Amino acid sequence: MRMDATEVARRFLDSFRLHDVVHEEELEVDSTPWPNPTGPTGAAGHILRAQAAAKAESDFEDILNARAPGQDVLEHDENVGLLLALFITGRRRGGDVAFRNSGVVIGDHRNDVTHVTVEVGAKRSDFTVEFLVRRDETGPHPDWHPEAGDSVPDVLTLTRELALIREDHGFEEPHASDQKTRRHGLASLGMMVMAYTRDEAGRDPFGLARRALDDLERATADPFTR
Amino acid sequence: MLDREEYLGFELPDEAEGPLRAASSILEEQAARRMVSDVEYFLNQSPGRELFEREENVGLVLALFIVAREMGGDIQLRNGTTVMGDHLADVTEITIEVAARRSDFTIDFLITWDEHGPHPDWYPGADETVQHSLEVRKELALFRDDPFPGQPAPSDRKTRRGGLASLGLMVTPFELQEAQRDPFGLAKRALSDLQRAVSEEFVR
Repeated sequence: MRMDATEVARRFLDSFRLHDVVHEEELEVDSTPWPNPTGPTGAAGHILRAQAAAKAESDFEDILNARAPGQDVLEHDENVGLLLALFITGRRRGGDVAFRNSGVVIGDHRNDVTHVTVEVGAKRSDFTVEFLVRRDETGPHPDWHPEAGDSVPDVLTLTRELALIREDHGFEEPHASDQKTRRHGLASLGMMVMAYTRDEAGRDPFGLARRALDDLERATADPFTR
Repeated sequence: MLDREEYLGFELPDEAEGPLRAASSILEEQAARRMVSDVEYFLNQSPGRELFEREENVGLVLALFIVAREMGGDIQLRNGTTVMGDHLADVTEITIEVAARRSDFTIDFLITWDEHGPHPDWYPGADETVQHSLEVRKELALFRDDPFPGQPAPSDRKTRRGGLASLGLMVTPFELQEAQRDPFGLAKRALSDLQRAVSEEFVR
């Protein structure tokens, strides 16, 4: 039996207990009123949204198909699921979200004070990171006060990176000591490191994505307070 | 509850009806919703904010974006440092810059078309002096050019038209009434002219 896209999406939400992230009524593309429903902008609004929706799918396919030689991150189905979860969850939180894979970039441009970038198969030093999540946050400098003058900048831009790496123990997996080396190596480069297993990514990709994005958000929020 | 394998045990692109299709619905919905706030933010930034106080300019920029999207390739809108639309990575890249400056002139909408394609002089067996591929860039200045309060005198308007043409830009002036009556027609005309000019560079 062939289901329509909305029905499949509903079942998808059920399957991943996603109703707190994306509400069912949002599956209706025309549910959001355009700011000015009359005149040329109102008419254009419906078309723009339909075009954006159509483009989103092909953009995502571009990301899935862009693979650098030797890069096999997205050959694992659970990583594709995790990528989707990072995208959907990241977008849901607001700010700008962009994805990079081998030179292909999709998502938002950097206009907001919060900018999250997810890079697939990123290289840092000798290590490959399945998903490198980077968060740039711009906000008021915590040391600034009205009498501070020029000695303290009034704005602070902070960047934090989190390496989301797959670590499994099995015959075909890298040796445990190599995995440990990678973990420590990435941490010594100043990154937060979060390891996940194939099983974990397959079972609850949205939970994993949420946890990674929460940790990163907390780490970027802290320096803005004194 | 669906079995995990039904969503994650798939191979692309043959079995893309499963999880990708489902997730795409959510991605599509998010992209469509995002578009509303993106456009609103874009319209309220400098230097184009003043231009967008007139609704026909809003209609025209949206028409340009829509028509360009229909033509394919990657499309980007720029208003000062604010950017919306696609990340440019296609063989066809169209950039629409609002209130752009070139020399002493301000242009309401500056449309840049970049096209990458095979070099018309290249043939199998050509020596290495002939490039394999060609990158062409054409720019078109689309600006309001009718008498209205604040608009330069006719002689100055002529100077602007001549000046922009001398900078190598294609020039398409429009009247307020034209933008009000048929923004999509105007957008189509500008983009078609630009497309034709670009295409001509790829044939001998």
